[in-house]
Amino acid sequence: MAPLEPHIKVLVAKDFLDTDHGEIDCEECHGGDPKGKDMAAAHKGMTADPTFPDADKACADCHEEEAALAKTSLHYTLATYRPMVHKRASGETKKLALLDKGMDNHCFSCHASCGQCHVSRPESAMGGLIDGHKFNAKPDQTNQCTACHGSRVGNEFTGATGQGDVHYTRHDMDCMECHPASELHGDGKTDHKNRYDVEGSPRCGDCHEPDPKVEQHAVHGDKISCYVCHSQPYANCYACHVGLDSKGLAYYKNPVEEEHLMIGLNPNQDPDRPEKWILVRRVPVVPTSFEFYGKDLLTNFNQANNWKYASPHNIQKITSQNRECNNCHGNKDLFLTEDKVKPEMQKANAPVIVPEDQIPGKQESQGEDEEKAPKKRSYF
Amino acid sequence: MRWKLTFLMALLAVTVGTAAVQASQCVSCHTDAEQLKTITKTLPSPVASAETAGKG
Repeated sequence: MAPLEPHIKVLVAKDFLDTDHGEIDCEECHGGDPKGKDMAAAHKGMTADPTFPDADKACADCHEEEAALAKTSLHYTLATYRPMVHKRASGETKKLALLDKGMDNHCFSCHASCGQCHVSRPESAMGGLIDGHKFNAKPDQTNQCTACHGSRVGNEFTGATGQGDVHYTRHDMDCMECHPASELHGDGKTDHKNRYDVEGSPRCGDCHEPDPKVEQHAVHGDKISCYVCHSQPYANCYACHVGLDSKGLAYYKNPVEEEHLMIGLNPNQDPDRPEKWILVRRVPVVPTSFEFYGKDLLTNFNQANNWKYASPHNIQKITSQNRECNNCHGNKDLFLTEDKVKPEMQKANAPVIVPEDQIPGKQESQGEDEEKAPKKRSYF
Repeated sequence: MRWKLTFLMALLAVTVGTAAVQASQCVSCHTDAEQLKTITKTLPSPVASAETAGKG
């Protein structure tokens, strides 16, 4: 996404001054010195985003509940990142410190604050006021949501890659239709296991009642995640490496990106996600991701899988998988079997790898049986 | 007494007036697109590392 023009980034609309927020003195939220003799003096000590790292400071006087919840929002805290990376980390204190430095420089530059969802573009998308400083209750999909979630979610959802997501392309739904404030503002929990462990995170079943008359739904029940049949191939990234260049600027190198769709086993079957079969996505971490900061920082890499539960945002009613039973049944290509995982990653991914003898067998003689039995309503 | 009251009212007017001027110092610049354009041309552009490669 091209950055905003520099002057647009700080341009305040005159009608903003007529809004409730516009009646508050600038310095009350942003600090600085309005009596300053010149620009440098006036801006001394000011903060562009007064809603981070302490949402209370600027928001709590009026939005007490939201400001308190923000501290439990994964957008705000990225709280699941550090424990997950630490799980793979060397136990040595010095190495852990080096790893944390790398994470602070790279991973934690990507948070979103109240202001970065309601007023400006996120800092990681070079910031800037998107609507003359007006506060929009509903975030803007392009300038805010996909400014960060762009290369995978945004492109897949809007159809920049693949056919797009039917919720967007056909029903004109935006991110907020499935991800309401109640999910994004934080759920009050501080011990999330992962990003799916947020109260109110969307489920297909929230809107779609599985129709038992649809043959495929009746047969597969809740054994298969909806995504397995209704997603298109999605982006998978390999071998992300981070570091600082000669000018001290953070860089991110992710040399390989491949599009595919891979069915794996659900390593965390629970009442919320009971499916045995799920889609898995290759996440970019490798044992050497942080090696700029030190050697052997992720010596316990195998403690967590790097093929992860995936929820691609490119849903279609009809996909190549669900046109014919045998597009999946007996089709080893679609399953994450051991031979598709590098030997050094196999131990880490054992919980999601599909043993070949578990791949559902080919369906034989579909045509003859269907002629005798009354045809069930097809999903297509 | 009347002089005291007049003095206090004048002081209040000056205080309110000063506050309004202070607020407008931020506002007058940040609502003026042309002025901002001129100023931002003189400021260094934010730079990102040229070594970043690939998608994430």
